[in-house]
Amino acid sequence: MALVLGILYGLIPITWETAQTLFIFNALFLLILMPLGGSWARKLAIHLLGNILSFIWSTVFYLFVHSIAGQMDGMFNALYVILSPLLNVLWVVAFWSTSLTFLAGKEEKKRWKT
Amino acid sequence: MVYKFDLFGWKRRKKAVENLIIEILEALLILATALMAAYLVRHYIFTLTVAKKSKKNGSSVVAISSDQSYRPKVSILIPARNEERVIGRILQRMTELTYPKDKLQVIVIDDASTDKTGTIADQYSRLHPYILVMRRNKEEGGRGKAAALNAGMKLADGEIVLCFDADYYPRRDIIGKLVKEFKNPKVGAVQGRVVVLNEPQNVVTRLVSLERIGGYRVDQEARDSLGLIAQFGGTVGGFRRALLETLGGWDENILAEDTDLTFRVYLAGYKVKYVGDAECYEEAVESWRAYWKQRYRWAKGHMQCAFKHWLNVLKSKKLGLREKIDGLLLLNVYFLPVIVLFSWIIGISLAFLKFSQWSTPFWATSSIALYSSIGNFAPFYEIGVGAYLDGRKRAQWLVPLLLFTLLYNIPICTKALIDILISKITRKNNNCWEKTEHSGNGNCYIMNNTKTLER
Repeated sequence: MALVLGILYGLIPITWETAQTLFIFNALFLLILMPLGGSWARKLAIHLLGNILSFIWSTVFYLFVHSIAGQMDGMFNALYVILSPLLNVLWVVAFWSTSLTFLAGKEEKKRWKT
Repeated sequence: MVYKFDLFGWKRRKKAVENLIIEILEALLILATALMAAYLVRHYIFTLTVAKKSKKNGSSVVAISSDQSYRPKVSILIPARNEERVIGRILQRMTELTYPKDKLQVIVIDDASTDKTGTIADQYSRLHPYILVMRRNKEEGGRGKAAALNAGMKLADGEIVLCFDADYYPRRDIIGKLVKEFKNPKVGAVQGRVVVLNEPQNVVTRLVSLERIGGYRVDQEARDSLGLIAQFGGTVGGFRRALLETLGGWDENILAEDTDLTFRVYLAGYKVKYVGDAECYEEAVESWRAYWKQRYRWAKGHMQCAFKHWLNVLKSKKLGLREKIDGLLLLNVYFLPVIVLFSWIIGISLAFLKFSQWSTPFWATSSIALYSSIGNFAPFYEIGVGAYLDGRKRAQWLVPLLLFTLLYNIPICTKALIDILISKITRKNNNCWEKTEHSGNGNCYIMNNTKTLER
């Protein structure tokens, strides 16, 4: 999987911010989500899906920022300082909560059965 | 060639000053980022600890039955000021506690109420001799919770003193669970878990509930497990009376009297023990306005504690290195939203001064900084894991909304800091205890969840 991710990172241009966000996202998933209950296959599938989503997000975000930056210039710098970390974080938080809901749902069902 | 016509060197000097300003701003931004990264790592360790612990013990908190042989006399203090909507509920609950009534003393401190709080408390007192009512008149009362608790202490004769807010609703067996920890002579104080009762009411109560989950299910649990600074939260907990008397009771000049006492307990060489299975339900604030008032009081009080204790924590010989680091981070937690604002201001200034392009590697640091702050003092991953461990599937969906509480806390904490600085400069104590209003709406949730809550 690391090899696949490496190839993808090489193919798709990503900014420093996105690279850092991805690093944090992967670190969070591997170290915190993995010790929680649920099958490994399910967790790995969520993890992979998150990485794919991050590439889509970063590409769209990159194109969007480029198109706006050309028109707004200096003013955009100020907006970008505040908004870029928030927007970069947004998908991680949303995906994190969705993944946990998914895992919690499965665990809940298991508990009901037992 | 550039300076050929710059006879007095003004342009060169201007450039040098500009470069100096940029370097200072960059250094400040790096410092702010480093501070927030420290919190990020701290909460990451907390989350990891609790996630691993839960895998070992199963997802629920391990409930340990209370020791029947250890039954010291317990005094329960309930400060109440205009709490007619909720006081009857907690007093009724006091009569239902499983702890032996001959070992129990309940003291209601009617803090100059102008409604029927005192009358309701009197009714219970007449029926149950272990319930006492202390009345404070207009001259004595209304000076805050700490003052009311100190007054109540004069009547307390229990070996252990516990505190409950009037809007709380504890489980029947809570006293035994809290008190059993005092068998350990090193434990000076205990803290139970706070769960939001009126969570389904609206988005504010739901977000407060998520904050509580992160704060208690993960934060307090991890700090207790790692031997760090577990915090006494001012309610659903208590102290050894002898220790409390030695420490001089609650500090009436500090708005966060609970945090202040936590540090005084640790500095005296004792510990605060967190008891996760001692649950108590609270009525959370229901509007953004009430949220502002409550958090402003907490922020200001916490900052007062930071100014009061940071040097004592550093110098203390009774605290280990890990406790000192955690203590300092805990003391300064309400400065975080101010630091976020500070980073934004510096970032915008740098954007205009230095960079012509919209993206530079340097900006990337701010994204790390924000991670640690999202979710109001507990990052999103911590709250998410807490909700997961509590089996709160649907609550997870609201985690992204915690971003609004972060944004809302920025003006709250900044105002609190400015007010403290003004009071320090003018040397005037402008503490004003803004009491949190309780609607009593929690009653309907008790009626609807009797089976869960009546345990």
